[in-house]
Amino acid sequence: MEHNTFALILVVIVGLSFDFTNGFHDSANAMATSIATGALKPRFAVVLSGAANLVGAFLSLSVAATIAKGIVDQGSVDIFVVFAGLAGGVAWNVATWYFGIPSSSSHALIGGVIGATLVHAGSSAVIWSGVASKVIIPALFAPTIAMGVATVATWVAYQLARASDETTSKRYFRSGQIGTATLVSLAHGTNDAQKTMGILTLALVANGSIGADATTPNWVIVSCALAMALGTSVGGWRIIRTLGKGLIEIAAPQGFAAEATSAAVILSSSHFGIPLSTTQVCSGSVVGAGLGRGEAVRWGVFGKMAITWVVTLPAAAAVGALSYGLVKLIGGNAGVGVMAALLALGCGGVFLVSRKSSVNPNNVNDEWEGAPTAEHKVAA
Amino acid sequence: MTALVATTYVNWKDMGAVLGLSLAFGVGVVVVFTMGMIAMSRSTGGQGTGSKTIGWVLAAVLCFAVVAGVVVFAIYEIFNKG
Repeated sequence: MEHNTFALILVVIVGLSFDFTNGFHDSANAMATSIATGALKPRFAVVLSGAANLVGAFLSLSVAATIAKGIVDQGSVDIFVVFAGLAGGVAWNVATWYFGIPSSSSHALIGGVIGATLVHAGSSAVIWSGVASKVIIPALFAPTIAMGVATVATWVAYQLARASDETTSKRYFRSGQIGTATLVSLAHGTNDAQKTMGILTLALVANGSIGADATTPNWVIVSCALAMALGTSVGGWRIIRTLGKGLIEIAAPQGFAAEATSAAVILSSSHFGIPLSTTQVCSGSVVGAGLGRGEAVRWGVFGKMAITWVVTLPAAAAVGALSYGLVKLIGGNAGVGVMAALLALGCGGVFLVSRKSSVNPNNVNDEWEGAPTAEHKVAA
Repeated sequence: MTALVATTYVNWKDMGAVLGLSLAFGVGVVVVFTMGMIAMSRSTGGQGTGSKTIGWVLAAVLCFAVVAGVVVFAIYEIFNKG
């Protein structure tokens, strides 16, 4: 097996960049509702989530899941496929962050790897039944289950909370939100940091740097955990705003019910080995929290999310395929270098453009334009 | 076609178990926590004195202990995932 240290170094850099974007992209999942209800100050919330992500990444080290396992033929994956797949994941994460749309980082990474594999080894190297059972079907169930459970949980919470005064319930539910949001962050750290650990391990194996049966090296575990925690602590404010303010006008009991639901669904699906997207679960929970209170949901915002979820896999696959094609067209290390530079320039450009309409801790809770019109005045 | 996909790719048993567990834990935690909150507010709200107050406090402590137990169990599940 041919060693390519230059390509491997760039794969590690792009891999950790993906992990970073995964963190800031998904900080909204755990903390958006806590920030929106005022349970936590915005900056403190993302730092707490980052710390919980860091702890979560070390909680269960035996998994280190190979994300593309059962989706592409592992024998067809070389280091350039991993690089292009990661490039597709990063590009999609940054693009969806710019538009403030919560979408699955895992699906983006899988899409990128599928696209690169298609160009590298053809469609026979893609296990389509795996794509259906591990990506498409779970994507249909994740928001649906979360929405249903959160609807019931919120309705029950409001029925019971009638026996308490508004100030008391707000205080208690806000405190409860801190606990449930931290639990979601822990679970997220365990699931998502290990996906990047897995793909970097795959790159090391593909490069011949470690044996196929080797365990994930410690430096991969530590660097992935730190990259994700750092990304989470930076905070993807655009997505936090969409999830916390864009879908519904959320109150503390709804936030608590939504986070408790998210934690329950994520951990239950993890227990049964069903790969439900944390992002889709959390988004579904927030919508369910609105429905459970009999509140108007901004279906237009949710519709954009749903369309993005459908497009994620093919879009990331297109970027992955394009990246792989470009790397091969230019050839070897020069191709990887040019593609990495283009990716960095593209992400930098998006970041600069985003500063014209900056969303930050100071304006993340500003009123959302186009308030729901339906009556939603329920107790507390 | 839809039926074929539904039977081939969807593990309905596990999906049903996820729904059931999520309902049990998600709704259960919310119910117990809210009951704890109500019991605590009753204990401090002047609704009863002496043994009644102690009873409300004990009920609240019990409810919050159950919620804390579920959280600890969840962390244990995360820890033992592999």
